[in-house]
Amino acid sequence: MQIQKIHNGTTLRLALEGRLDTMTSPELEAELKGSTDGVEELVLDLTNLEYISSAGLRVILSAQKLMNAKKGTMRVLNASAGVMEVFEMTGFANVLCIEK
Amino acid sequence: MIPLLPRTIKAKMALVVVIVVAALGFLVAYLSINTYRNYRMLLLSECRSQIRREKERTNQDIQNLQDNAQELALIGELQYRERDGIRDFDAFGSYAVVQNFQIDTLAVGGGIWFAPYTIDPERELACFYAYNDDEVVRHEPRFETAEYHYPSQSWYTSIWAQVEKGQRVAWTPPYFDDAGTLSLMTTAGCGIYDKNGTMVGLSTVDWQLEAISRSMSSIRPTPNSFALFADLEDDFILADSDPGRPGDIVGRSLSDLPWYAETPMEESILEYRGVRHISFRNLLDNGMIFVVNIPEDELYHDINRDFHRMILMLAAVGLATTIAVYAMLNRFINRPVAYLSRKAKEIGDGNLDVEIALHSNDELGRFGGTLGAMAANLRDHIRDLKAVTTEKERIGAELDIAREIQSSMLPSIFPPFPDREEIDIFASMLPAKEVGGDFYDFFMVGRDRVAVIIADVSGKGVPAALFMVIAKTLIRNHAQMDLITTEVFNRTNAQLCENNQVGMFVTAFMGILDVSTGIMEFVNAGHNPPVLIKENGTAAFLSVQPGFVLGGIETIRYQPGRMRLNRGDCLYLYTDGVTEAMNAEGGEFGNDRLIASVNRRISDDTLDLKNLLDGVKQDVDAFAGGTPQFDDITMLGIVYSGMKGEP
Repeated sequence: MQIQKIHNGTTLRLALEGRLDTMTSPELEAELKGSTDGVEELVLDLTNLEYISSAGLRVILSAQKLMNAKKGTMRVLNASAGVMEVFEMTGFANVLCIEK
Repeated sequence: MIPLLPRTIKAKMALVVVIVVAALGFLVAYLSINTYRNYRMLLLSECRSQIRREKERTNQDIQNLQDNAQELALIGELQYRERDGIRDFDAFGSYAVVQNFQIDTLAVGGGIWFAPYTIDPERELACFYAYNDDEVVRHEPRFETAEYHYPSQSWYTSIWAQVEKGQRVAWTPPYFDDAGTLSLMTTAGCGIYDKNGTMVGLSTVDWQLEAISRSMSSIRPTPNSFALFADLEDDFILADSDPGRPGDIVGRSLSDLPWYAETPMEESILEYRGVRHISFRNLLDNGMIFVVNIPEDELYHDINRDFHRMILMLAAVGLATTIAVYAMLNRFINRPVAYLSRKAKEIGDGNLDVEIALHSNDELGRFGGTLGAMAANLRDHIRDLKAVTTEKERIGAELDIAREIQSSMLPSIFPPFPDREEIDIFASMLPAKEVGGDFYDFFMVGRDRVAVIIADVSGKGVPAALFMVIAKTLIRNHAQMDLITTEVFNRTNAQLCENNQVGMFVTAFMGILDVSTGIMEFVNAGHNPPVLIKENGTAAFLSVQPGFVLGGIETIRYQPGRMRLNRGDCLYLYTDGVTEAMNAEGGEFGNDRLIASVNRRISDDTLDLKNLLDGVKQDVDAFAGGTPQFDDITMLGIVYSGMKGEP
C-alpha cells in the first residue's frame, strides 16, 4: 500500500492506495504515530483504496480516537463502493465522518 | 572433459611438471647438439688451418731455396761472362758464393758448378760451394776436388737433364749424400747460361731432408696422429711418423703404404687399423707431398667428453628438478587440495564438527579457513534452526490445543434442548488454519427464552482467540442476568472498551426468542444481517440496524430490534467467512450466492438445519475451488416450531 502525505498548515491529508489489511495496516499505524503532532484536522483520502479488512478498521478507529483525544477532527473521503459497504455494515459509517 | 586427462590433481601436476621439464630438456638438448656440432666444425677447421699454415710455411721454405738457387745462378752467369776479365777466377768464385748463399733458409749449402771445360778448355772442374757452418757461411773446397768429380754426381746429371728439358728450377730425387753430409738430401738447381742461351753450368742449393722430415713428423695435432712426407714425382717416401708402419720406410714407394691409396683427395676419411682418421693431403710446390692423418675420435675427444658430461648433467638436473618441483607442488598444492577435498566430503556427509587444520599462508590456507568457518556457521545455524523449529513446534502444538479448547468452548451438543419442542438449533464453526475469533453461542434465559448469538472478533491468532473468550463470557453473563438485549450489549461494550489497549473489537448479533410468544428481540453490533427463512419458503436478509462494533467506542449506545417469528420460520446466522470466501480469481462468494444457496436447501415441509448448514458450506467450498479457507466459517440456524401443543 502507498501512502501519500500532504501537510497543509494544521491539516494532514493521507491518500491511501491499494489494500489496507493485516500486512499493510502497520504502515498506516506508523504514519499516524509519527506525523500527527500539531495536526488539528486529519483527512483520509480513500479514492484509491481497493479493500479494507478488520485490521484496517482497527487502525482507522484508532485514528479517530486519536483525533478525538486531541480535540481535532477526522474526515474520510471518497470511499469506494466495496469499502463503503464494509463501513455501513460494521456501523463505522455512523461513527466516522464520511464524505464524498 | 578430455577423457585422457588424469583424474587427480596429483597426476595432473605430475603431467604438467613432466611436460615442462621435457620441453625445457628438449630445448637445451637441441641447443647443445647444435653447439656441439659447431664445435666439431670449428675444431676441424682449426686443424685444416693449422695444416694449411704448415703447408704454406714449407712452400715458403721451398720458395726461398729456389730463390737462392736462382740468385746463385745469376752470380754464376756473371762470373762466366767476366771470366776473362776476372783476375783471380777462383778467389772470385768462392767469395761470390759465400756472399750470396742465404743463411736463413733450410739449405745446408749451395754452389755454382760450371760444366766441364766451359771456363777454360784446359780446365775440367770449376765449382764453388758454400755451406752453413753453425750460422756462419764458409767456403767448402772439398767438392772441387777431382775425387768428388761433381759432373759425375747423380744430382748434377739429374738437374742438368731436367733444366735442359726446360725446367727453370729442378729438384733432384732424394739421395743419400755419402760423399758429403752423409744424410738424405735433395737439391734444387737452376741453369747458368751464356749470352747465347747455351747452358754452361748450374747452381744448386742443398736441402737436408732430415730436418724437414723431423719437423714434418712433429706435426701431431693429437697424440695418435701421424704424418707422411714424400716425393710424389719420384715415388720416394721421405718420412713417416706412423708407429705401426712396416719397418724402415724411407726411400720406399708410396704403394708400400697400406693406406695411401685410400686418401686420394685433399681431405678424406681413412679407415686404418680399425680407427677412423681424417686425412689431409697437401701437395707442395716442389712436387713433394705431406699427408696428416688424425684419428677422428681423438680430435673430438674433449668435446665428446664434455658433451657426454653435459647430457648426464642435464639428465641428472632434469630428474632432480622434476622430483624437486613435483615434491614442492605436492607439498604446496596436492596435499592441501587432497586434504581439503577430504574434509569437504566429511562436511558433506554431515559431520559439521570437522577441524580444518591447514595453516599455510596462501589461498589454500584461507580456503581451508573459510571452509571451516562455513561448517561452523552451518552448524550454528542448524542448531538455531532446530531450536526455533522445536519452539515453533511447541507453539504449534500449543496452538492446536488452544484451537481445540476454543472449539470445545462452543456448545456442540445437538439438539441442545431435546425436551423443548418449540425450537431446534444447529450450529457449526469451521476454523481456518490459524486460530481465529469467530464464535456462536446459545442458552436458555429463564424458562421460555432462548438466546442465540453469533460474533466475529477482528483479527486472527492468539489475540483474537483471547478476546473471543472474553467477549463470549461477557455477553453470556450479561444476558443471563436477564437484561434487555441492548443493555447486554451496552454493558459488554463498556467492559470491552476498558483495558483495550490494542483496540480490538468484535461484531456480534444477538437474538432472544420468547418461545411462548414467538417474539424475538435482537440487537446488532456491526455484524452481517442474518437470513430469515419464512415458513413459506422465501429467504431474505433480515433488515437490521447496523450498529457499531463492540469494544470500539465506549459511548456507543445500541438500538433494539424486534420481530415476530411464525411457526416454521428459521433464522440463519453466519459470519463473513461465508460471504467473503474467495475463489482463485479473487471474487467473493457474496450475499446473492448465499441467498441462492439457502434457497436450494429449503424444501416444503421440513427444514433440515444440518442439511442447510452443510449445504451452504458445500456451495462455499465449490465456489472457492482449491483456494484455501482464509477465515473461520461459522453458522447457526434456529427453527421455531411454535408453542408446544399448538396445532
